[in-house]
Amino acid sequence: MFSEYTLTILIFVGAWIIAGLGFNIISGYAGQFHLGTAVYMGVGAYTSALLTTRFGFPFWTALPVALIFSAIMGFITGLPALRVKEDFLVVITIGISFVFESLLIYLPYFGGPVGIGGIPMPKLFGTSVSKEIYLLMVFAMVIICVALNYKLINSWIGLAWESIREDEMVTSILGIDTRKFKLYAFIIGATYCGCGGVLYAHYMTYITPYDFGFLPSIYIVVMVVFGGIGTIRGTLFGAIFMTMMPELFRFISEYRNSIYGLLLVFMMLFEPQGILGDRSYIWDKIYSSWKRLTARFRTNYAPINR
Amino acid sequence: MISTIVQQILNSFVLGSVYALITIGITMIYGTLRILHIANAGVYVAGAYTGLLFYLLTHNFLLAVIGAMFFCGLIGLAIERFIYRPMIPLPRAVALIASVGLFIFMSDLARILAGPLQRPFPLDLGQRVNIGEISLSRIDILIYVFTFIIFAILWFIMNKTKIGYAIRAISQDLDASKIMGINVERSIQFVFFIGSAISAVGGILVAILYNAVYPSMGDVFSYKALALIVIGGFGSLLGAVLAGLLLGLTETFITTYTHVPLSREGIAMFFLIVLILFRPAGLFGKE
Repeated sequence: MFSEYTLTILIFVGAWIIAGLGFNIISGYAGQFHLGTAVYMGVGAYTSALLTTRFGFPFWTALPVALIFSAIMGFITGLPALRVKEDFLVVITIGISFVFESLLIYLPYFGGPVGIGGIPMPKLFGTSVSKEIYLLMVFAMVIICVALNYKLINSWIGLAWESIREDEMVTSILGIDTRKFKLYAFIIGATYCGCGGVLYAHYMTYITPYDFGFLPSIYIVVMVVFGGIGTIRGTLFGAIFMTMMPELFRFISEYRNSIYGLLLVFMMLFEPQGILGDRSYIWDKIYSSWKRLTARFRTNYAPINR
Repeated sequence: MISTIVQQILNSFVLGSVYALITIGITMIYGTLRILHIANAGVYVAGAYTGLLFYLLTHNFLLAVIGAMFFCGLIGLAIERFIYRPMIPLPRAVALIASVGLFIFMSDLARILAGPLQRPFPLDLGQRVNIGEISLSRIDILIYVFTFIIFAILWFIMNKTKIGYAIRAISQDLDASKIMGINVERSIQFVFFIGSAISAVGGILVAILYNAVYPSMGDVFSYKALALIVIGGFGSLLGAVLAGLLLGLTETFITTYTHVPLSREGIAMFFLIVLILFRPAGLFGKE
């Protein structure tokens, strides 16, 4: 149906969406600005890659184990982050991403700078899946992740996160254990990122430490911030747009980093909420026209007594 | 044995003073505006490149340093005026994200303008100097001299001049200083100018130390500088200098005498994380 090239891009879009959702949970909802989310992608990808290549696990058992490892990593890295906030937290998370990357490079067990190759595609009914099926799997995973994310933010956890983001002091005065909910954010966000990492690793079939260093974390930040931090629609839009853009405009890909950087600066100058974030120009337009549209129906059909 | 240790300490202080030079700029800016100026690493790369350019044009090292300082100071002013100033009333994360973006942009711009290849810095100072069993290269001595001069000037400005008092007042309380009639805008511009100029010197010194100028040279040092401002306590100038020297020392000794599976920046970041766990305000910061 699609060419191989289109399939690859679509699968990447899916993996980045899931990782972006993870970053969005930690930084967008819980408000803990994290500049090292690619670490969790790395944990997921490396766990799954090691399990499938060295220990002969099939993909379907490696995936949950990798998710659990990412969650554990989220817990461990969340602990120091509980003690600090804002600028300190940013520096710490950058630090975590460097320690992680240099450990992967220096320890021969993880394949060193060349990484791990020969990661198998997942098997379904005894045969390796085709790329189309893999795309469907990624797509299903994205839907599950988005649905879970909606469920989460409308539950107690999500409300607690948003209240921590708005004012941590007041939240703790209200009797909410902010430390607990921040840790939840790290664990759940890390699991999301780990899932993205696993999907990425099994499609690429080889991974290097540099895929999960500082720059990929920045890419995630750019996607979510561009789309609208703190919203699921923004994350989806950002991940899709940012992954497609260098492919649609080939001449850009040479200058990808500088354009990403400039985009971040200009977004912060003119639209800090992101393209589709709450209270952003475009989203306000869409929202108010939607309201007007539905209002017209309401005046037609609703009872007049109010 | 003692002479090798002294030798190691002297070598490590060379690294340490370079670290301190790079950290000072970010620390000063953090002290006044409370913005984590990650993009300072881009300024530092720009400093190394303009220094090289001026040196190739004039063949005078001092002139090259002064030219690069002036150029980077202007970059710093532009960053303050056009990027950070509109963001001061907004949440702190806004300026932070912009700073990250600016850093990515600037290091990629260096790659586009100057090419990805490594260029040598053709400064030839001649023989190593031997004092007893200790031998120092002239580049080491140059770095010591420059660091000393810059810190002396900086100490003088911060402690003996009106603008220094103004900067210290602003770092304590920006609004109160405004009420007391301090020209806050001009002082902040001054901080950005000085901070960026000092980073430029840091860039040039690193370039002659490793005899290499390349677009990603800012990365490693900037991350270390980030670790250092935390270790030194945010906004504390003395803390930044001491933390720089300390990091140079630990790095040199750890890499020569033990086999830790971490790169040099990995070591710095590891210490940072451990430190934060036990002393969140940094080694020399106030609680």
